[in-house]
Amino acid sequence: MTDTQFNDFDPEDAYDVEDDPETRLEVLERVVADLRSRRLDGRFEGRRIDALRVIRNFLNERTNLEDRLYELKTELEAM
Amino acid sequence: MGTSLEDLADVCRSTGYPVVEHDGWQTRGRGGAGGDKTGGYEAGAPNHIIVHHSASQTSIENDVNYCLTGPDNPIGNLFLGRDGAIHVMAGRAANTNGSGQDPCGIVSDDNMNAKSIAIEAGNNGVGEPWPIPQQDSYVKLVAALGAAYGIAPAQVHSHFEWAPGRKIDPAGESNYASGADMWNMESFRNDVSGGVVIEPPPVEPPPVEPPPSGGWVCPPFPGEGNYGCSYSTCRAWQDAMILNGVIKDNAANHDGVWGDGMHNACFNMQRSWGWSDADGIGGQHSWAHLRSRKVAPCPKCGK
Repeated sequence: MTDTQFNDFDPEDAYDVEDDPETRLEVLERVVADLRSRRLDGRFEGRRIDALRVIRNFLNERTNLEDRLYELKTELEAM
Repeated sequence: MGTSLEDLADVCRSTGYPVVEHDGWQTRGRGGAGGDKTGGYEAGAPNHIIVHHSASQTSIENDVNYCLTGPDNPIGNLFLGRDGAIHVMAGRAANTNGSGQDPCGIVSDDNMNAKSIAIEAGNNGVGEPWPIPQQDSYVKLVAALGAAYGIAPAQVHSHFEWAPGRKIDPAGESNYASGADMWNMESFRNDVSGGVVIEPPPVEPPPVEPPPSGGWVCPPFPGEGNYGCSYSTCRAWQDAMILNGVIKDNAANHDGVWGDGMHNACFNMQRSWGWSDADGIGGQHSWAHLRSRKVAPCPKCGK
């Protein structure tokens, strides 16, 4: 930590699940970029694990949405 | 666009500590449509207060400037100086909590920025002693915010409670921790409770099973559910209506505010019971009828 830098803020602190997907992806891009540069420091393991959880949830959400879209498409095609 | 806490500076002044208003705070917020930094609070929010430390050791000017102009600004709604002065930065939702999970289960995962008032406080986070005025101001500020916006002490969390494993703030030598340890938040919340009387969320009594001989007893009437009713009264109605599937179990339905949504939900509930005189006001008969639905005939009308 430097003497002058505000350190409480990490890129993932801007993440909110109700934001639009593009905004959320943009935040996650910055999270991974930030962690990429710090990976050798074990203090950031908690951040890495939490970012993984967030990304898994995001992927599940997308998968559920896609599954439902396929169901609707199939139903329409069968009408 | 959501709403702004337009009286935020006045609420801060009620602590008795100096308040510095930073230009544009009334309309400053996170994200918003088109990323225009006007993202305000939606109905039912803010319903939490999250307390932080800045992990910095610089001037108050540098800290506040970073919060207002750094990436993803505004970082926090308020900044608490080491002298106890309160800097008002954003009246709309801010960026500073990020991914995490709500210890009291009201806010959905990874969604706290839009639901909370965030307070940053100047401290290096590695053991710097917190000056007494700053600690005192922190307690009084959280108490005043809670009283003004109906946020109970149980809904005051540290950043580390929201994001355990990822965050440690607030930490440091104080009434709440020794050395560089993380704060004892139960102790902090107790001090906040002592500063201002805030009604805690009502504790939902466990479902009452009818005894073998019958004789189900209706839980006590919490007061009339209507516009302007108290936080605890509204919460008791909300909890009972959630329990009976009348309204959804989401953050907005735990806000303790009887607005149009609760009025309409109550009206529709009464209509669903076939009441021709449905009025959307939660009176004694509505309470007894609602609470008895799954366990017994209504003690008021026998239906």
